Amino acid sequence: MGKDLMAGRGVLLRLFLAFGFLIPTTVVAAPVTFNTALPVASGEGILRGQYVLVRATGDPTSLRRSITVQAVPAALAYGVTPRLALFGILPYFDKSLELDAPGGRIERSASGFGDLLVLGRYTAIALDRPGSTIRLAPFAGVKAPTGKDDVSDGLGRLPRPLQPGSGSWDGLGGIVFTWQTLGWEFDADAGYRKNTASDGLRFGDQAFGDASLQYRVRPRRLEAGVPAYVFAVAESNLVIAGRDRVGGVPDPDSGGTRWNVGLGLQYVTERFVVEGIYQVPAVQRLNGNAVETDYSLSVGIRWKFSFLSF
Amino acid sequence: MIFKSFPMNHADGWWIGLALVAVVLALLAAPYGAWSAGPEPGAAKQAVVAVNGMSCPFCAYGVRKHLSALPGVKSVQVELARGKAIVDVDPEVRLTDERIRKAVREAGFTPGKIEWR
Repeated sequence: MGKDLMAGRGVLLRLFLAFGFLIPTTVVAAPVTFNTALPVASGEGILRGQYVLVRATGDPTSLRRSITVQAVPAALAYGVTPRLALFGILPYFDKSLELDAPGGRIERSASGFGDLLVLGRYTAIALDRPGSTIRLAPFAGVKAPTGKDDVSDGLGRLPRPLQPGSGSWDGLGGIVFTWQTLGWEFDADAGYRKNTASDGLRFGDQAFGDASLQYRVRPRRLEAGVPAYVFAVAESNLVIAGRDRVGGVPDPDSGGTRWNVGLGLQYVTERFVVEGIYQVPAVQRLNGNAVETDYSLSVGIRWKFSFLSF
Repeated sequence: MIFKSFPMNHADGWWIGLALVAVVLALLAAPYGAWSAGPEPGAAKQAVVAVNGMSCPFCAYGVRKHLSALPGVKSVQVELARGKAIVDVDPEVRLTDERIRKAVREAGFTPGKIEWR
């Protein structure tokens, strides 16, 4: 019985690791799910809060695994100069996994602050015309292991993908493009995230690419002043993740390709933005027995303030 | 009688004439030179500045803030559809075009034409 339990726990550990890259650890500013190249004015700040819900129940095994991740990322952007902006993102996670075990259905969960991500973005190209702008901005950042990665429950230490923090220092970089007019906006980015090892586990590196189209549906005609906009939003997020490595050995049930698409709405004023988006996976090619995502939902608010005068 | 005490020949006359023309031209040109540097105190009260690249409400905030922080600015009205900011200035304060352009750049955009009225 003891050996069966240990073997069962070994299988459970591999399967836990399988959904590691599903969990959002970086949630950066607009459109809704990623950043833009639009300026943050010198001395200006933007505070952003979101609620993100991810559900995954597509288990190819008989364990009937069900994963729920709730995240509340808080982000602060600051305009150092008209071209250089700094971003800090700190998420709070609540993660849970239910599955059928030899002794019955069990649930394991953890909550707490995740890792702090600090990013810098520099506008390399800005082509401004009356009523439109085209921008290109490279970005780079570092994720520090500030979140807990040693949470335990009655069954012992939780598997690493279930922990709020990753335990590792990771880096990412890329480039973002924005073309904005009075009536619509198109954003796209591409980048790479390099993960390092911690306690013998290294999550697979990720290449990512995102695109977003926002179309102004209200007002139909722009009147005087600065009217509030309502944007209809369509977004696409592609992640190609490498396999995790446990003790240097690739985990066959990790990594793969996921392409999410979603529709949302934004209400934009001069001072704040309220937004939401619902996403589903258009393509999921996950390695081994990884759990497939059902959907994700994100709602949030952004608020601008100036250090020139509060 | 005065002219008799200052003996002049034809060459002197030409130089004096040219000097007078130069003074008149300088007086005529002075208002335009002052316009490109900003109006004199007591003159124009409102600057209309084109802000290129400003295309959404969320972008207007930084433009308003940076222009409002300029000395002598009483109010700023942003016209998003027209791509302009209308700046009301205290007529006793001299605000130069260059300071206005710098404020727009600090907001992250490109200043265009500035008209005073």
